[in-house]
Amino acid sequence: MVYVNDDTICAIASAPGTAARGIIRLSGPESLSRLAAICRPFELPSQSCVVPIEIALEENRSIQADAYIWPSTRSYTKQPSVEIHMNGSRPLLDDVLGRLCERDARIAQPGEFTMRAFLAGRIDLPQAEAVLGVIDADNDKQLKRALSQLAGGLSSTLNVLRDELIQLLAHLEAGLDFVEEDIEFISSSELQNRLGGIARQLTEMLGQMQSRTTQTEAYQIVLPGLPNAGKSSLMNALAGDDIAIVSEEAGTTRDYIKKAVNICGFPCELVDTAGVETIPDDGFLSVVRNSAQSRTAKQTSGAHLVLTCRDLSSTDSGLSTLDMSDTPCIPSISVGTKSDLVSIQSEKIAGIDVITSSVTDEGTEALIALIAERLEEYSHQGELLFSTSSRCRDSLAQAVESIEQAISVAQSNLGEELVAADLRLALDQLGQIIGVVYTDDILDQIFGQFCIGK
Amino acid sequence: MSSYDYDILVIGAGHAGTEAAMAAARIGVRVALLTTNLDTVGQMSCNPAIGGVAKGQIVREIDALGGIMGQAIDKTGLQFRMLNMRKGPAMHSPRAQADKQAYQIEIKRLVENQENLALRQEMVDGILIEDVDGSKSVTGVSVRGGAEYRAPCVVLTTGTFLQAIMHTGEAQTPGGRAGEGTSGGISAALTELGFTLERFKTGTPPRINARTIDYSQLEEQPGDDVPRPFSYLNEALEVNQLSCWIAYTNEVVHELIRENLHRAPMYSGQIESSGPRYCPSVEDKIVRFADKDQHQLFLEPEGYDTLEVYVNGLSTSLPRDVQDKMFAQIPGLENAEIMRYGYAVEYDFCPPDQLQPSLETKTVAGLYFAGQINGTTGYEEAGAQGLMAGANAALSVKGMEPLILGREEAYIGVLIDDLVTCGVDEPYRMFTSRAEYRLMLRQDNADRRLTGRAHEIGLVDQMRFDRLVAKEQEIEQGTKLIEATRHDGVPLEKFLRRPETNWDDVVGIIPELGDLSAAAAEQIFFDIKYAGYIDRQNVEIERQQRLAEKRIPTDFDFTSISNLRNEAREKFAKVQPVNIAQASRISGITPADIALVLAHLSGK
Repeated sequence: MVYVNDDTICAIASAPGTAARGIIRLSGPESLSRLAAICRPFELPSQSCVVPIEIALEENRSIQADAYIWPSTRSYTKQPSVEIHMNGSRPLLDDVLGRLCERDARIAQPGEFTMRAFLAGRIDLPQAEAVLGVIDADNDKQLKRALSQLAGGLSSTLNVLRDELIQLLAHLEAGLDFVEEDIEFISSSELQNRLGGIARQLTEMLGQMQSRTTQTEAYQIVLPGLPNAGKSSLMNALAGDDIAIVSEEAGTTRDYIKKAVNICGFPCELVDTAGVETIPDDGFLSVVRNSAQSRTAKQTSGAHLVLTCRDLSSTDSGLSTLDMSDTPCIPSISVGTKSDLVSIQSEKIAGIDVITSSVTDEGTEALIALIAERLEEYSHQGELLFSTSSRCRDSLAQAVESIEQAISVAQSNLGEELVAADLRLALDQLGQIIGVVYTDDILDQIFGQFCIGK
Repeated sequence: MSSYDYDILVIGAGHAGTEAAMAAARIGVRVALLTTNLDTVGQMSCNPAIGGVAKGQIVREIDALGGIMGQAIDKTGLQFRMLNMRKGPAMHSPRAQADKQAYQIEIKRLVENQENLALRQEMVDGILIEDVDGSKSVTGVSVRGGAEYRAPCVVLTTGTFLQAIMHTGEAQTPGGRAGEGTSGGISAALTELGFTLERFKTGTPPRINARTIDYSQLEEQPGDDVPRPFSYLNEALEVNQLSCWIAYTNEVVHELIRENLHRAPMYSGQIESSGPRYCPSVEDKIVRFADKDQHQLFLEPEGYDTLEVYVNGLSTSLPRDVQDKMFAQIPGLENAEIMRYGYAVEYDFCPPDQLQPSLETKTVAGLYFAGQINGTTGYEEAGAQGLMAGANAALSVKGMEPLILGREEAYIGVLIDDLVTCGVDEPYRMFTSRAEYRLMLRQDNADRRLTGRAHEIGLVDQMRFDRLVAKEQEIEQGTKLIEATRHDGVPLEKFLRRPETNWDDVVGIIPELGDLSAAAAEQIFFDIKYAGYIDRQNVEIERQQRLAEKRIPTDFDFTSISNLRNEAREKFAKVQPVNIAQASRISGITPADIALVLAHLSGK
């Protein structure tokens, strides 16, 4: 929580993706000892200075880094503080952050460094207020974005699992609070089975989130739409002469095509989602559309940016029939294609951001600039996004741990009130990811499901 | 006009009012307890029982704070059961059936015998207020017959009597309890003072004559072999216990109710206010749980000297003829004669977010509310609030800090914090699931949690405190012995934590432990069983306490925080949290809102 300021917090302080160097910041009384705990032995300074350090990784490997150390109160937050300046690779930063957390540093909440700086008198009230005041809105967006990026279509699964957990807790609580009711609540073996199922799914999800953050640093740019909207040509235009096609993901079903490109220094992956090339256009357009739509939804949910292509020469632009309303928090650019086939008087067409032609190369540069502009916004929000995703995974891991503890308590018959205590911890953690509390949910569940009436 | 001067006036002598008056008098101020009817002091208007899951824990807390509910039920109970014995100690909950009339007489006797306390029959018809430049404070009350009572503090415990209407089928009668009137004047006075009033409803079942019950068709529910007392002053109870009996409704009864739903005030639209979901009327059960083919009914005797039996589970507002016909279809009750018909009652309450944590109102200094007027149900919840309001009024007269119990200290703390921080949207009843630290808030350790604090402010006498000190010494000795011992290759504590280990095994290992009193042994045993979880909860409690130390001044202007979200600003202004911990518990408040408030607090 933002309002406790005497423990030690850490966060990535550099934007992901573009920077060659990355920064991890620590603040709090144990900053130095936390740093020491993840490094090969070195002498901790007693005065502010920069020291070379070696961070120990898996299998006896290590990386070099510089530590800016403020051992006393002469730091930004007036607390002992550390900045680790190291290789900017996102998986590496993530790994180091994880190691700090294992040593009991806590991942900072949004605005927490600002709060500490304010309390230390480093910034004044209006400055602090301005930062803190926008955190909610930002944090909410970031949460959604992080979830859709990290978990993709899994965020709905997370909700389902959380609901099931609430239901199980409601059964337990009902059994504890309404002992005299003539109701069979839940047997211990069923409880254990269902908890086991939830723990397995959460663990799986955690694995997927981990692989997603460590797998790629590239921004996902998705091009949804039906065939013949000009997507392939647009992808080729973006790939251009000087931008090499790095890889093409081939699969037997060819659900989608990915191309790795570099746009103004941003590593990107272009994803053509529809993948309907293999389905012959034999007149069953509705079938094609349905299939395209579900694939599109899946792909766009993990996207950083969506390029919607509209064939300017066609009256029935395929995309208009694709429902995009499920992905409200992902920025998009609307691209009009095949401008060479129509005569356009005005530069502007309603709802279209850029007009392009793969034949005349019209608009390609403008589109690239626009993409870069949108991705720039991302990199500004990078710190928040990155710390948010770290927190999500942290919470998920703790939730799994609590559920496993609950199962073992149930197995050894230590008492349902203790199982409930562990499940409450798990729900607290899941609630932190989704941003909700549950106390009322449980009473609602109990009174909705059971006839309580003595 | 006659005028009487006191330190504190308590209006209403139900479960809240009697505890309020007793608590204030124990602290040593002069109290007048005013009731409309001296023959209904401490009356059990609904079921003749005290305690239950979570409620039993509250009674133990009331007793640990010197209250009278525990002593009264110990003396007048006719059946005692410790519920939830198959679960862990935090879930154990005492419950007792009362001899309803004996209970009421015992409460009245205790009140009559209390020094500093005058019990009087008066009908209060107005609240006297002094208004200096818009800041209001209470100065007393006026009563019917041209008299005034003057005091700097008034505790209002009017129960369901504000603007009350009873419903039995189409028939409506003004009144808060069968055969009694309503106190309309106070509602008007409160509205005039600027309080918001809302309406709740609740119900009560019919009572039948035991002579007309065929017990051979019913299931018996006897009391515990060894009845356990509610009061820490009692070690054992001598009681000739009566049984309760269980009957069941059936499809025929359900069909009868369905056919007559249009005559039930709730379904005909005659009653619109909301009632409790956990204590639904039988018509509600049948509508909402249509797939259940039977519902349990508990037949509870109302006393040794009466044949009246309370039909728990059959709360209803259906008309008389339907109530008669229902019984004819229930096995064992075919010939049951109704002695009192069931009814629903609608009443005014004051949404409790208008109160401070001391239960003093935010707008009128010296005016306190306790009990059902705050939107709660239950004798136990009422008694707890009464005790706290009475104590705090007395402390205020003496110029001392109010007694505010934390959520980690007592169910009473949870209760009052929930009320003043979150308000209520249905009649509030305590459940153990409302208490995040319930593993610590056990019925067995209420004295250890509360009696010390109560003693500091004069709320409990020396005798109670001495008993606690002696118990703590025993606990300490026993704990030391255990800590110094290993068994089966592990520390004895660890061995003790195994589910199959019981206290006798430990006494087998350290025979001296056998000399401890049962109460002390129980404490050692339970504390060790829960130790890991309690340590974990202590971390969170400490964090909350640090937040609670960050106080918000009463004149703090939330509108001055320009970047605060509107929703947060409105909620803060309404609840007026007293510290950061409370502020963070308001629903819909985010950490960033709290950070802004904190920034402003430290910026000043």
